Amino acid sequence: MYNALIYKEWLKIRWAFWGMTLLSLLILTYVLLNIAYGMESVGPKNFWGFVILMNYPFFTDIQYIPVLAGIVLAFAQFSPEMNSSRLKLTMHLPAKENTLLFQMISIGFFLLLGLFILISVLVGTISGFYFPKEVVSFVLNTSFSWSIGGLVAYFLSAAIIIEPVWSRRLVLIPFSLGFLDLFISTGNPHYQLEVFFLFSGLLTSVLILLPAYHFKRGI
Amino acid sequence: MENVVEVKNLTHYYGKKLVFENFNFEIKSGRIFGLLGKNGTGKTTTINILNGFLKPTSGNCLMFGENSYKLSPQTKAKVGFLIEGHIQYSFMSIKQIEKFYSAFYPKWKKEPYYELMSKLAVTEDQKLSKMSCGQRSQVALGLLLAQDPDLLILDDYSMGLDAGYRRLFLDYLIEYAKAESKTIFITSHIIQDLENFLDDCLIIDYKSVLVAMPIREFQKTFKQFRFTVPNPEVMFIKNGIIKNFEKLKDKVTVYTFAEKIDLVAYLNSLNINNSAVEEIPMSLEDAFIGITGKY
Amino acid sequence: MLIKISRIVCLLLIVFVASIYIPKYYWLKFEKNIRRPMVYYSPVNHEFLISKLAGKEMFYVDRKGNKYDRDQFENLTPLLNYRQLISVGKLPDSLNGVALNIESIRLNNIMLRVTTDEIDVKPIQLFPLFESRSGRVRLEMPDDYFRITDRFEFLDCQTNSINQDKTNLFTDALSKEKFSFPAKMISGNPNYKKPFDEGYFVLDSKNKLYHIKMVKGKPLCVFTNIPDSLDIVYMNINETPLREFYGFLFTKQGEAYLISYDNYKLIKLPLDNFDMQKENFSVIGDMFYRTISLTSAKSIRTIVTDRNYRVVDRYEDFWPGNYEMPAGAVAATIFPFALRLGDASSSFSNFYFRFSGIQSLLISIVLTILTYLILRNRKISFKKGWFDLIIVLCTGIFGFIAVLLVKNIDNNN
Repeated sequence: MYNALIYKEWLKIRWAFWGMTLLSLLILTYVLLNIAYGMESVGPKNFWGFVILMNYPFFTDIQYIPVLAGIVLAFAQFSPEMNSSRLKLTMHLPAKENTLLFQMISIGFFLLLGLFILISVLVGTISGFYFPKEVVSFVLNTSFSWSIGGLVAYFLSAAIIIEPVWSRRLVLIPFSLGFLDLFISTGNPHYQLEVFFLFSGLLTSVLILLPAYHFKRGI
Repeated sequence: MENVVEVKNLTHYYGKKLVFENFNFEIKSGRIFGLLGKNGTGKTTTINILNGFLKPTSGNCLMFGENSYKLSPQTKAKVGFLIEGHIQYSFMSIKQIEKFYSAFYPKWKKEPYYELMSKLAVTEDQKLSKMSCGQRSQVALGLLLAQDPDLLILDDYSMGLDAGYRRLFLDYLIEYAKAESKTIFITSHIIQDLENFLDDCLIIDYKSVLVAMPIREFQKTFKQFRFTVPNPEVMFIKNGIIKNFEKLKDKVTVYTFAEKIDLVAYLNSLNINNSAVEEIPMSLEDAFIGITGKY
Repeated sequence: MLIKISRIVCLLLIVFVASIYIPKYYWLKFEKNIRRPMVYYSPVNHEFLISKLAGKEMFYVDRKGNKYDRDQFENLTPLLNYRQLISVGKLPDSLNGVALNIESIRLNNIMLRVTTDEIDVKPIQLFPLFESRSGRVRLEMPDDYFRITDRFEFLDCQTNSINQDKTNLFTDALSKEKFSFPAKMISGNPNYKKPFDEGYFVLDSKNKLYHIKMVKGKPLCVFTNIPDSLDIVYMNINETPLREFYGFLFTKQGEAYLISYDNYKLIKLPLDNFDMQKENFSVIGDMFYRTISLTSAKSIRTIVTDRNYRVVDRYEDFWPGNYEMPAGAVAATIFPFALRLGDASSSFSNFYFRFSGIQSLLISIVLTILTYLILRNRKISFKKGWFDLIIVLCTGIFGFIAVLLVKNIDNNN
């Protein structure tokens, strides 16, 4: 049954997923070209100086990719379910509703996770080609919360889309934005916050059950 | 005969607006049960509550003995549900949607589905979103038949369908209903199609139940009489005898479950004595309009 | 059950976000920008001069309450403002019996400072090692950066690979001086615009402090003899032409030392209870005095010493911080706590939690009672609503907002 659900969810989100993957690759290419250009134009030692001594964020172009991907995937996956209340069909499938919902978001979660790991590996490889491992670790540490922010954006968007009552959506939206902002607005590493980000980020995955319950019970 | 569906003391409000109050009915196994009513009388609301998609203000619904908002997966597998407007996953193709659902239902039979699809002028890879309303209704029906449920709940199957598709839809339902202990719960506002289809009917009006009986009994006992009155100013009221009436100057039509002799006696009591009271035969649709009124 | 957990997570999310943003917007509206005063010491009249602002006009007062305008101030601090005084021809020929000339003023003027923000910064642990005696007037950025792991490694910028020869050369030199790898702390000034280069001060894994620099391509590694019992938590190396000290360091105990050119002898600065997490540290030095200032959000402590670091005079001043003002008292009453995700500096983020204290409990109790009444009005039993009450009691206004926004769901029907 899980396989069938994967199949259905994949049909909905594949174009969004490939689109976001392509966009990520384009932006990573741009990051790569940007470093190559910087190394060429100011010379390696000066470019290293910018990065190492002044923390020049040569990789900030990837800052908003995860959030964008999270929101786009949530829309691709859940707006067709809300269109004419198709979620009723899913809820009527012979399985526990909460299990179905968890399975649905697990599919988006794993796809996003894969995409973010790909982005991290590529941005790590690109940085590692030009810079020492200290810089790579700085880059990965800084972009870590952006990736978690992408997952949070996905979970929260899904919950907001599923919520049937507009007034409750309007409550969720500003708080979601405020929460998301903590993950993505910073361009700095958080050496002590990874665990907090990871934990609180994954915790938002259960948020979807409440609006789904509202949908289910028409309240 | 066991009750497949039991609705007990159901009351529902949308905000402050009462939809129905103390609504009770049950559907017995193997019956074709029609919930009939005009638009806005709460048919879809009833179905939504029955499927657990709406929390009633009070009262409860049982399906196969389970509370309808907490149906077990096993029970959900026994229930086929057609959402109003033949809603299905429109981003899937004919093939994809069959493949998807087949994983969920142990009794899945794809043959009736593909048989039905072969009658439509569509390819197997065509997406539902690219089909006509009638074609989509056949896909939804095909999926229900493939699921082979014990209880089929059809919310306004006729919505948006022309006469041909409505007929096609019913033909398949009749085939389906021939099997052992298959129960159908159907709502519609197009009555004429159901005349030779329903076993039981429940006719509801705003806030109240008008009729709850086997359809044959309804058709046999509900009658229409016409007569003229000498005193056009006479007032009729809906009471135990007269369920509904229409009056145009001195020409009066009344609808009643009473026998002619009882009606005449009642008219006499209103000083209407010498009229020729004539019974007019009715189709189911006439009877439906007769009891619910034209407005 | 899962739905209840989902609702609780929803409540916590709202509480969390509210406790960050509501106090933040509150302070955006009500925060008073308190200008921290600057305190100077006049080598002319041997008085403290404290900067004040009246409207947009800056003036200075001393402890006796005398007011000085800008011209008077500049005349009283000729060593600080020598360029201005020269341009108007008012620089005295001598001061305290010492003849003044531009060269000696400039040489003796020093400025050391570190702010609280900079203490926690963890820069990328790669450093450029300058050629300290290149024979050129200006320093040049090297083509490689070093790190100290179990070796003293040089990484070439061009190839992003280890320069083995140079790495071996330096690793051997450090090993010879019994440096124990890896390094715990590396401090130097990587700015190539500095007047000359003194390399780096490196704390090894056994808390021994080494001075390492490159002279004509060769490593120079010197053990400083600074006792390893000193708990060094911060170092700041800053080359000045005066060549009196390499820089300064702070210990865990809140002591501050200058590392002198005289055989790395430590000069202890006469500070009491210095809190580097809360107080900015600055030293203004001239031909006669060292003016050490410790400035927090609510206080300034200034100690003036002579050139031998013997205390000459002290000055202290306190002023109310934002939390001592009415707006702060209101905030502390309304908000049981406040969270802040701050960028303490350009390269570090963390959460800052501020507990308001017991006075906020009153509001929390009132809101809890209010919540109880609201729940009762919504016909939600105590059995179902107790968690909401606890949230409001613990998180006050934030929990109240959350409970109001996320209605208690009725699971029975």
